[in-house]
Amino acid sequence: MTISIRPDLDDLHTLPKAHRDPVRLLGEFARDRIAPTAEARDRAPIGTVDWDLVTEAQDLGGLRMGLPEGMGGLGLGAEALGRVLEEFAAADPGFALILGATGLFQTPLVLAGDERLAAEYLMPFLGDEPLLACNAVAEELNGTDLVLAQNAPYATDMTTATERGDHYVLSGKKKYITNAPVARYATVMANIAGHPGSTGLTCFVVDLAWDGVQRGATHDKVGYRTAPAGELVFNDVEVPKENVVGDVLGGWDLNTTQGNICRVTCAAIATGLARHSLERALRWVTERRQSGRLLFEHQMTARKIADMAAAVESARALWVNAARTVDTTLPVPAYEPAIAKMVADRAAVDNANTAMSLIGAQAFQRDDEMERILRDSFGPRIYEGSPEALAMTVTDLLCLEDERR
Amino acid sequence: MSDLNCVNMSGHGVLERTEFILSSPIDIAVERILRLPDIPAAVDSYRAVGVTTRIVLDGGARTLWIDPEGTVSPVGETNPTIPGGNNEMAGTDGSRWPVPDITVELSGEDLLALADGRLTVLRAITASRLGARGPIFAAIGVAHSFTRL
Repeated sequence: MTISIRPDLDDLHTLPKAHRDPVRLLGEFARDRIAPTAEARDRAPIGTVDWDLVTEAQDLGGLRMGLPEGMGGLGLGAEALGRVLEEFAAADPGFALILGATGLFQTPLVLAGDERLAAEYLMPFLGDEPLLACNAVAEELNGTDLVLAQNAPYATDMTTATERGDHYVLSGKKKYITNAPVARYATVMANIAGHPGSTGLTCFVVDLAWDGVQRGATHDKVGYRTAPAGELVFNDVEVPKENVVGDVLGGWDLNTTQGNICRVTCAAIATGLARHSLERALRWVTERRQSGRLLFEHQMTARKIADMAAAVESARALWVNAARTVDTTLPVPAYEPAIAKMVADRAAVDNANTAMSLIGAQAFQRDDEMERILRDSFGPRIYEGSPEALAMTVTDLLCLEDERR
Repeated sequence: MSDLNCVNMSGHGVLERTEFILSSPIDIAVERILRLPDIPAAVDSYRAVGVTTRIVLDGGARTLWIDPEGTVSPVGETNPTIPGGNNEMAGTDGSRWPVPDITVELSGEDLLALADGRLTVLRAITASRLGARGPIFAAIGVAHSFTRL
């Protein structure tokens, strides 16, 4: 019997019954429709979105995966979402990010349970028209300073929200925002004027069609090119006070909570990337011969394949464990998601490196898929916590008493 | 914090027959939860979640049980799981309760704050003031029902 590194989409017994079919269908869609067309999207002009495939994903529920079933969404928890996004990432991580970034916009509204905001900004995702959204946090000068609490006082020149009557006026610029060039809505983290650093963060829902919103530059990224990313500029955009998600000044805690949940699915995406490198390497070492033997029959090659498989299996075990913990625990845990993402992000890069070594000159060609996988493999460590930020989170949780964190 | 309940105060502010009942926040919180079945908006919101819930207040100082219909029962001070894997839990008063679908943990003060609108469910989640074991969106749904008490 040959072991497959790909999960069996017909064996989803650990998921709630209602989630199995949607996960299977989306997973098959990723394997059958997204994977064969990934190269074409990677080479398309920057900012190009494959709306036909986004619409197909929409029809399968891909843009409402985290919305409650009672609202018409799929109601997927972290484990089910992770299963889906690992499949999309093994096919095309940029496409995984398009779906994931839209989910990032939706999550704060789902957690808040604000019926008015849900009716106005979540219900549109249940329609026939595919809508994308984004979560606008990062800025030119503020990256990790928005991830680690001890850095928050240093987050300067943030997008600012100034109270004016029954509105807040947003002014500033966000950068590196997935889906920004094409999103309809955004959750925007801005600092309330008069509150230094980013401890004054507040989350606003912004319709990107409003006056004053400007799409800035679209980024020409090294990888994840299927997912358009860019700048959002807010030129005195008036946001009704009712569009605050949760509490004024509650944005930091909300961002942290959402980040801990999101790290699980980010780890699943990184696992998908690590798996894709292994799949490519397996095809090579089971076909190519040197000194009369298939490559995998050479001991050093066998060791590399085994190490790559161990990396994928351990990354998957960790994100699944983190997902099950996140699905069943409040406060939202920080330790398991950070560990899972740390390991998976490393697996993505290491497996790409090893696969390049195994495949050699062939992998160094622009027309081999390994070239794209290599570029994409560096993506996971950029968002939702760098390896360094994750390490500090893990160590603080292990070493500091609660009151010192 | 205490809640003063004054009874029979005269029009001039002189207390003719006064009964001061000092209640702690946790006692008031328990009282509020016990009223769940009698508040349509709250009980309908709770029933929509469709779970059995164990509510643990103030780290186990008080524990209550809510069945899927919204019937509330106090179960004593602590409610440990019986060792040996029985599908039941024991109250310190000897009563036995099935293992709940979810356990929700918060302080009595926070439960009152949710009920009075001084604390949002989102804030309770993000500030780590709402604890839960079991499907978290069910726990969040239960917390939302508390905002209607």
